Amino acid sequence: MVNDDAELVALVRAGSSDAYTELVRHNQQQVFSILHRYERDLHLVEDLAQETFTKAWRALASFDGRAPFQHWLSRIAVHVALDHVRRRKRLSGTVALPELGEDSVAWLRDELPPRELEARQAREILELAMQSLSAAEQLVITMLEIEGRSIKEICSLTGDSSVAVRVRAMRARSKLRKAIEKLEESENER
Amino acid sequence: MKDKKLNQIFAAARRETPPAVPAGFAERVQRSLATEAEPVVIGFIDQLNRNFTRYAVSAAAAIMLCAAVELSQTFRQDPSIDDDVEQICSDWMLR
Repeated sequence: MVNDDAELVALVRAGSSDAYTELVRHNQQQVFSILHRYERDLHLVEDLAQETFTKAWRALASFDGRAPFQHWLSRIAVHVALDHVRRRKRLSGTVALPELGEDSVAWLRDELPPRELEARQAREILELAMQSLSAAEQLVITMLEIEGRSIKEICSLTGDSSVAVRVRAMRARSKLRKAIEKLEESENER
Repeated sequence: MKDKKLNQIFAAARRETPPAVPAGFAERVQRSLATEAEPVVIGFIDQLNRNFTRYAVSAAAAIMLCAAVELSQTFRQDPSIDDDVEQICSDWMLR
């Protein structure tokens, strides 16, 4: 039983399809962890994960082994997520946005103590607020503030410069603040 | 104020646990890849190996074409490439 990703990659290159299944098993949780930040529907997350591993399979010849396989795969997952957010943004005019749940509304109206905001409610609010952000801004702010990645890591995963990442993060925060203000106002008017 | 609220939202979102991977996911990926070709060829030697037949046939065709041209020139008694080379050499030596 081979446990090392580099060895598994070598076996896949030598023609072993079972080795790729093992490679998927080794890395599937990490890929799901990245993708679920950008999509709440688990079926869609699974589709995106499958797309990630299919792209990785096709591009395996370009994997030079300088960085760990996990990092290389994360880059593919991040780009799959970016494409997905872009597609969703294009469709956002035709697809109705989800409504906020009662608890999320109560939190926005300051009817709940701040500590009681749950992860699920935060996701609901963020999903609505992020509609005002570009796909690239959504990606940067998610990686920076929710996944807790450093600027250097984000640059390495997206291929953007640190200046571009910092500017996008700043713009995203500012847009999110405004979007949350708007949400609060609209919920208070109801 | 709004920054504080935004930070609270981020903090709550960070606590969200990733979903469990559905059972049999790796096998499903493998099945979908079964219809695909092997991963892209790795190096120059592999590419050479894969296309060897094509290269061999192309080379044989080129050799036969050259031989045919040379033969036809011989039958028509046109000066061949060898004659031209000979001419150039003798011209150069007489200079």
